[in-house]
Amino acid sequence: MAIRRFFEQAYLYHKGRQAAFNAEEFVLLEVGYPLLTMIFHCLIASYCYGTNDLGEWVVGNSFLLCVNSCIFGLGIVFMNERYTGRIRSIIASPCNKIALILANGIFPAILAIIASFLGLIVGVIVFQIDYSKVDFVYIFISIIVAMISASCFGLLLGVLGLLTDSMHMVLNMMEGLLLILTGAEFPIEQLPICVQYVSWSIPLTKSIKAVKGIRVGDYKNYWLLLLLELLSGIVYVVLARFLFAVVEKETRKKGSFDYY
Amino acid sequence: MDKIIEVRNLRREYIRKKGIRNKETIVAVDGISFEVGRGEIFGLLGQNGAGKTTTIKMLTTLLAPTAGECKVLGFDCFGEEEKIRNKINFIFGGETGVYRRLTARENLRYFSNLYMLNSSKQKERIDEILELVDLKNRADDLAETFSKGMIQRLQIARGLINDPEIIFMDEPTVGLDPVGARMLRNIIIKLKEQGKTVLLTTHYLQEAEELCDKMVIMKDGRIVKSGVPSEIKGGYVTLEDAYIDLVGGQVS
Ligand SMILES: Nc1ncnc2c1ncn2[C@@H]1O[C@H](COP(=O)(O)OP(=O)(O)OP(=O)(O)O)[C@@H](O)[C@H]1O
Ligand SMILES: [Mg+2]
Repeated sequence: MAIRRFFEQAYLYHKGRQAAFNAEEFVLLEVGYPLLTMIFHCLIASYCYGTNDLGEWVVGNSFLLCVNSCIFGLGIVFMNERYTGRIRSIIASPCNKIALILANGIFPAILAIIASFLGLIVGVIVFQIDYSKVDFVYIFISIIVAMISASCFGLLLGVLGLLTDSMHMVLNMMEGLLLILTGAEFPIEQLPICVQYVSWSIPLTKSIKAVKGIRVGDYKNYWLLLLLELLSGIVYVVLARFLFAVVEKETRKKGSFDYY
Repeated sequence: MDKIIEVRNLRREYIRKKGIRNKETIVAVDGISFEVGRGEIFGLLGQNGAGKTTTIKMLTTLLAPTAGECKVLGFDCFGEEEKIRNKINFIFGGETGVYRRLTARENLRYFSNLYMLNSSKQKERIDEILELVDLKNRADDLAETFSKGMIQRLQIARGLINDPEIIFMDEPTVGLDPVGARMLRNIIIKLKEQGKTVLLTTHYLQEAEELCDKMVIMKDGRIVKSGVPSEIKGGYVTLEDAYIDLVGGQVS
């Protein structure tokens, strides 16, 4: 009962804010653009490091493909609800706010999983990466975990949109941080120690490390890293719920909910 | 009659930023008091900027009062909102507030899910409401293909979806054609017959006079007159003359 409602809401959120007009546009938006970005980053890496083995970067950058739907897509969800005057229905209704937050994330998470997996496959083909020794099931599991975590993070950012109109700036900065700090482009060990703490607390870092590990036959920390990634996802959602309550109260005091 | 809306010395200020450092305080609602009994139709009238929408936002738990008392069904609108939200709903005028990329029916499914209607009741209720607001033959079209008045009908449907005890309507007839406006008046009368309470704002004085059991007239955040329509009219022939006199315009 509650589950049917949850998934129906997830579908309606997805359909209701889908920006693309048709299938071609949708594919270009969700797959074409991110793939080009990924190829761009891999080419830079091959140039900088003077290597032809781009396995490291293909993995990291295919994970980063989720930025499109998880960070930019989810990060503006609640700001848009505010701009369209729909937020008042949400606030004034007795709905369960944690279910509401999660329902928003379901479809973007699925899209992110598809985009990452496609990215990985395209990357492997384009850059002729040797993955013969790696079990793809492990990679697939880590992609799922990573995208769940990234979506939860995007939702946490999204809640900020109840408060501020500057979400585009926040999200662009977040994209930059993810590029620098997740270890997708270069090893996080090269960063100052205090910045490494930030690296570990943002999504993707752990799962990228897990996959990079199994690529060289190191399965030892794989499950631990994924568990940590999943746990951080849960922490993001719990934080999002608390933040929602705080921000709701704050905006009711300030009167900055919507424009009408 | 039990008082299901109680407002006492209610005040709301907005802080508006002016430049980088300067701030300006705007008093939108300046110490108003009124009560609404169960089953009444209550009108909130006044000029643009008088504070009507601000008052409704506070009563619908969307906005916190700066000072004073604001109670619905005996509960505080700020602090005990969880006890109120299930039993009220609102209709705001204007074209925002629905998903343009969803059909009318999908929109209503979405809103009924927010109110946790169970699925067996949901379908029935949606059909019933679509019929009521005369959108049945457009139910499966996207809202973005709707005219202004059709979106307003969808807003009305949205506001009725959870079968609320109290309905707050802020300029609900905006954009409706004469038939639509009559439809809404009939809906309001039907709601009253069912024992529901309606609080509405409107700029159509005739509509207010026809519908309201009681009304208040607001000016600059204060109530300048309250009572049954005949009291408000006083010695004037029409409500409009009385209104214009009260809010300080010239009666020609
Ligand atoms: N979010 C806000 N921030 C700052 N000032 C606001 C805000 N909302 C309303 N106001 C101010 O509060 C006053 C009352 O506005 P309100 O919307 O309550 O008027 P109203 O009676 O509904 O008018 P109308 O008939 O035009 O709808 C106005 O001076 C308005 O400028
Ligand atoms: Mg108004």
